[in-house]
Amino acid sequence: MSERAGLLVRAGEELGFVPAATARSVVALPLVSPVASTPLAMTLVNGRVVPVVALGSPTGVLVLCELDQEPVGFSGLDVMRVGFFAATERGVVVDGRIVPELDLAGAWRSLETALEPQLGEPP
Amino acid sequence: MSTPSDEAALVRSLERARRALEGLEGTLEQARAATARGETELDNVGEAARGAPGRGRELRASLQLFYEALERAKLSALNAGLEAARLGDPAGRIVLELSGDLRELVGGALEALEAHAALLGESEREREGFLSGVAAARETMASVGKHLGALGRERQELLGAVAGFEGALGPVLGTDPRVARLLLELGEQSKALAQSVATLAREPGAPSVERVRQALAPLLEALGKSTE
Repeated sequence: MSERAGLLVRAGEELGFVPAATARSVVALPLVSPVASTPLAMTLVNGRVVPVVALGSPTGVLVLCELDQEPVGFSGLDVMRVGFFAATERGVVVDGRIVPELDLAGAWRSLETALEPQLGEPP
Repeated sequence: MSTPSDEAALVRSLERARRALEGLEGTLEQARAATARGETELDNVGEAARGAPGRGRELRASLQLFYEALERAKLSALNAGLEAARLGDPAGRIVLELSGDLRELVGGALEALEAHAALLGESEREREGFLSGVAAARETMASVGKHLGALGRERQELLGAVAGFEGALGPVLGTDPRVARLLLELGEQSKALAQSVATLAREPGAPSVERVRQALAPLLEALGKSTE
């Protein structure tokens, strides 16, 4: 059986898997500032401005991922474990239980979509 | 109309009351001194405990530093594990296990630190309770001091009243209260003496009248002088 490396996280009551190829690092939750009139929030990590997507109530950490070669922070995730897990078609198996891979790219795209109507509109 | 015996008993009671009131002053003085000592000791204890909050804050601040350092160490171990996972088998797995062990150790240290902080909070609450108790005891002690002061004043008033009563009693009785008391004592002692003489006369080898007279010589002599 093949294995996948990554993070086992908890988002609210649900367990999810974040591949190591996507997750770059986990940092202590910095000060996050909402961007006015948008569902977006921003923060500063290592001197770089990073958009933040909230997947739940703040947990004290920010999971920094790389999507489309750009850093994106995900808050509201509780990191349970890191390691190699048995792979399934849509996630991994942890303690005999299937844990789906989190659709972080989808969450990020939905945010971009929410921003789109506002682009080019007069203030 | 009162008998000389009633009058003497009255005088004696007054005398006892006066002596009791005089003796009370010593007891009151000891109670006042003990109260003052108690107040001072409570002040000292309270003063020592009042210095504790500053030390508690310093301790809490250093605990917070520990906590933050351990949290950072835990995150570093997590990120090391993530890098190891990205490396893949076999090198990555070894580093991953090491980082897992490290996270576990740091997690244990964090739990111990949280228990430590909880104990510190508990001891601070206990100290607050202790300080409240000391303050209450201090108030009670001050109240006892006030009551003792009032008792002392009342004792003084009573002494004055007894002295006034003794002074007023002389003209009423037609004699000095002190003389009346001495006469009573004399009467009681002479009764006892008469009883001793009667007992002696009943003894088989009873002494002669002359011998008894010799034994009573000091009394007879004192009696002769008092009637001159």
